[in-house]
Amino acid sequence: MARGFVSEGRRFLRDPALLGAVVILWLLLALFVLYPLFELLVRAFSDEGKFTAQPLLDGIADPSNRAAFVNSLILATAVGVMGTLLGFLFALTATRAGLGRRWLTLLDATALLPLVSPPFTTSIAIIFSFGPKGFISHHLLGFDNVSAYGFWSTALAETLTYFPIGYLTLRPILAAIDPNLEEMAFSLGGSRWRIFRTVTVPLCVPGFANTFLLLFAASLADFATPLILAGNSFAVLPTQAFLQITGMFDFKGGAVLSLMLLVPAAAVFLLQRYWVGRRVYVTVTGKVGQRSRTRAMAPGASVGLVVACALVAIVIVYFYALLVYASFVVAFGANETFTWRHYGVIFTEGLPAIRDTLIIALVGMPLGGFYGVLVGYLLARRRFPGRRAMEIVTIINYALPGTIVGIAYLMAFNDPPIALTGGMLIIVACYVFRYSPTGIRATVALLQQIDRSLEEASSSLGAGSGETFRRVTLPLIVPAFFAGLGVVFIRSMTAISATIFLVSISWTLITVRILENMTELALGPAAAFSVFVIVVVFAVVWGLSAVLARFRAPTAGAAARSLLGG
Amino acid sequence: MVSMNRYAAAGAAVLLALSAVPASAQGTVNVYCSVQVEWCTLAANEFQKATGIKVSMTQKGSGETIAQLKAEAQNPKGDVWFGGTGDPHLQAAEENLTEAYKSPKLAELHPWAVKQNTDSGGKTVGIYAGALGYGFNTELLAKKKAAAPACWADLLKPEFKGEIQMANPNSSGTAYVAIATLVQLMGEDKAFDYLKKLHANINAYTRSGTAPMKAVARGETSVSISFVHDGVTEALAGFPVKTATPCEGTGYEIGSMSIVKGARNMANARKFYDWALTPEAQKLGAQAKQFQVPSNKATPVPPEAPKFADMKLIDYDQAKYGKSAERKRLISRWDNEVGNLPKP
Repeated sequence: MARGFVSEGRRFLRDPALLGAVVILWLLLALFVLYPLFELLVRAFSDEGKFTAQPLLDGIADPSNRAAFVNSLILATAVGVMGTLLGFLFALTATRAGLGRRWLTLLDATALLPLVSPPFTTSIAIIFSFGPKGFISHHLLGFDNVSAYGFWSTALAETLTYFPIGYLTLRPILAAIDPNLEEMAFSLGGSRWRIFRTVTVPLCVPGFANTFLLLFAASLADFATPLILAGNSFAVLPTQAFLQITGMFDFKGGAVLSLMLLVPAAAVFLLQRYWVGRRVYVTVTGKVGQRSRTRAMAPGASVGLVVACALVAIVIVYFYALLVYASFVVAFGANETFTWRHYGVIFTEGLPAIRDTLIIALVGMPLGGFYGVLVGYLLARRRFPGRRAMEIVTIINYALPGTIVGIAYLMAFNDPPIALTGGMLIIVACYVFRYSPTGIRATVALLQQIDRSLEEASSSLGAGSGETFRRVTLPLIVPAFFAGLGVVFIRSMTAISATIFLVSISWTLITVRILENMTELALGPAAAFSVFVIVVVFAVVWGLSAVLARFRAPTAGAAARSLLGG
Repeated sequence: MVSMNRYAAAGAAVLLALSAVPASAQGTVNVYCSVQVEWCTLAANEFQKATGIKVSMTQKGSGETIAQLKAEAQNPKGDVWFGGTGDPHLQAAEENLTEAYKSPKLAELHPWAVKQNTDSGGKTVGIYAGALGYGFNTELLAKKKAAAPACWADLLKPEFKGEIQMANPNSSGTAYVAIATLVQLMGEDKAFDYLKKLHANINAYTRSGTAPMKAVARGETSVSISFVHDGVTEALAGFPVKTATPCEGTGYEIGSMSIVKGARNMANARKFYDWALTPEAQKLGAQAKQFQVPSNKATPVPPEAPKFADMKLIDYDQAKYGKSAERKRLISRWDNEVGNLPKP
C-alpha cells in the first residue's frame, strides 16, 4: 500500500503536464473557493481581531434572524413536498400514460421552461395574475384589495420554478421499474390502485427522498423569488442577508446570516449526496421486459394524469404568455395600450447591461467548459495525491447557496491585497467555479464509458499526458465540453443570487437590471428584459442541442440532459 | 473541427463588436445616481453631449449608495454621487467618504442649498428640494367612499387598514425623512407610538422610496407616504393621482450631490458637479418629468412643481438628522419596534 502510494507520487512528479495542471487548479481553487469561504468565517467569528462566537450568538438570539431562519425552513419544506408531488405527477404521466413522442416532447419543453428562465419570471407573472390589479384576481374574479405577497405566493412560485428538478429525478426511476413487475402483480389479481400503492410507490421511495432534498436545497438557496414576493411579513435568510449588506453595509451581520443559512444547506447537501442519493432500488427480474404499454394504469387514470399535467402546463404557458403581453403594453393592469416602449428602453438604457452580460457569458463559457473537462478528466482518469479533496473542493461553490458565495466573494476581494470587485473577472470567476460542476460530472460520466485502453495506447506510443489528453481524450469528451459550456452560459444569463453582490458601476447584469426595475415597479421593462433573456437562452440551448446531436455517441444524450438538469 | 473554429471566430467577432465602446479623449466620469432613472439617463446624455466626457451611471437609492461607498472606501469606483435625500449625503460627509469642493456656482444657489454645503464642511451641496406628503388614488378612494387624507392623524383611520404603502428606511432615504419628520413633529416616543399604530394600516414597506407612489398610480394601494413631487409625475402620465401635505406640518428633503473621496476621475467629477449646478442642467429635471424645486435661483421653477408657500413646513434639522449615529439609532429603533412587528 505504502509502496503503491510512493510510486504513484513519484510518477505524478515525473509527469510535468499533470503536475502543472494539478498545481494550477489547486491555486485557482484556493483563491476562488477556499479563500473566500475562509474570509467569511473569519468575519463571522472575529471581533476586533479576536476569535469569538459572540457575533454568531447575537445573530442567533436576534428575533428577526430567528424568524427568518424558521421561515426559510418552512418555505423549503413546503416547496419540497409540493414540488415532489408535482414532479411525480409529471414523471408518472411521462412514463405510464402512454403518450406519443410528440406529446412527450411538449411535456418536456413546458416542464423545463422554468429551469432556464431568469429568476424573476414566475414572480412577475404571479404579481400580474394575483396582484391588486392582477389579471385573475382583479379582472376575472373582481377582487379589489388582494395582496400577492407572502408565504403562499412565494411557495407557489418556487414550486413552479423548481418542480422540473423533481420531474428529472423521478422520471428515470419510474422508467427503470420493470413493467413486468407491475404486470405480474396485475395478473396475480391485484387491483390497479393496490399495485400502485404496494409496488410502484414503494420502489420510488428513495427517489422521493432524493427529490425532496434537492427541492429543499433549491428553495433554501432561492433569493430572487422571496425578494420579490415574500414581502416584509415573511422574511427569509437569503433576502435578509442581502438587505443587511446592501442597506446597511453590515458585513458582520451578513456573514452571520450566511452562516445560519450555511448549516442547513450543507446538512441537506451532504444528506442528499452521500446517503439518500446513493440509495436506488433496482428491480431485477432476469429478463428485461419489452417496454410495452403497461396495463397497470387504468385508462381513466391515464386520462386523469394527462389532464392534471395539461393543467399545470397551461398555467406555465399562461404565465409566460402574460409576461410577453406585459412587455408590449404601457402599464399592465392600468393602461393596456400596445407599445414598443419597453423594448426601446432595454435596448437604449438597458444596452450596457445587455452588453456586459453577453461579454461575461461569452468569456465565462469557454473557460467554464474547459475547466469542466479538465477537472473531470483528472478526476476520472488520473491518479494524483489529493484527488478526493479536489473533487470535494470543486463542488463547494455549487453546493452552497448563491447568497453565501456572493457575500464571501465580496468580503474576500473587496480590499487589497486582492481587490477584484468592480471588475469583470470576479463575476466570470464566480460563474465558472459555481456552475462548472455540471460539466465536470458530464465529463466523468462520459469517460467512465470510454475504455482506458485508447489512452494507454497513446501513452505507450510515446505521447505525454498533455498530448494524449489533447489528441485522444478531448475529442472523445467534446459533448461534455459543450454541455459544461452551455450551463455556464445559461447561468450567466439567468443567475443573480451570487453576482448581485459583485456587480459594479462598470459591470452590471441583465438580471440585476430586472431586479432594479422590479424595485422601482417598472414592470414593463422588467418583462421585456425577461423575454429577451428567455429568447437568447432558448436560441443557445437549441444551438447546443444541434451541436450535441452531431456527436452521435450514445452518451451525447446524457450530456444534453445534464445541460438542463444542472 | 473546422466548424468549431468557425464558431470560435464568430464568438470572437461578437465579443469585439460588443466591447467596441467608443473611447473618449475627454475621459470618463462614474456617477452614482439616486434620482429617478429617466432623469439620470437624461443628465448623463446631456453632460456627455456638452463636454465629450463619457458618463458611466448606476442608479440606486441613497441608502444603498452610502452602503456602497462604505464598501468601496478602500478602493473607490464612483466619482460623483448625484441626487437622493440629503441625510445620507451628510452622513457620508461625516464619515469622510466624500470630498470637500467649493464650486464657483455656489453663489448662484438658494440659501437652503448653500446651508447644506456649510453644514457638511463643504462636502455636499443641495441640488433640489422636495416636500414630504401623501399620494392617493382618487378612483380607489371614491370607490371606498373614503375622504382623502389631509393630516398625519388621518392615516391611522380604520378605513385605511392595509391601504397605505411606505418605503423601508433601511434602503430608502425617503422613508428616513418620514421618520425624522415625525420625530421632530411629535417627539421621539410619540412618533414611534404613531408608527406602530400606522403599521396596522401599511400593506408593504418597499425597498425603493418612489415605488409606493407608483403603486398608488397603478391602483395597487390607495395611499402612499412619498415626496409630493413624485405624485405630479404620475398625474401627468395620466394616472388618477393627487397629493397632499399634512396639516400638522411636514418635513422636506434637500436632494444633494457629493464628490466621492479619492475619486479616480477627480477633474471630471468637478466638471460634472459644476455643470449639475447650472440652470441648464437643472432644467433637465422638469424635462424628465421630475418636479422638485431646483437649487439654482436662475432655474425656472416648473409650474407643475408643488409650491412650498402652500405647505406647512417644519424647520427640518438637516444637520442633526443627517448624523450617522442618529440615523443608525432611529432606523434600528424602527426595525426593532415597528419593522419586525407581525402583520396585524
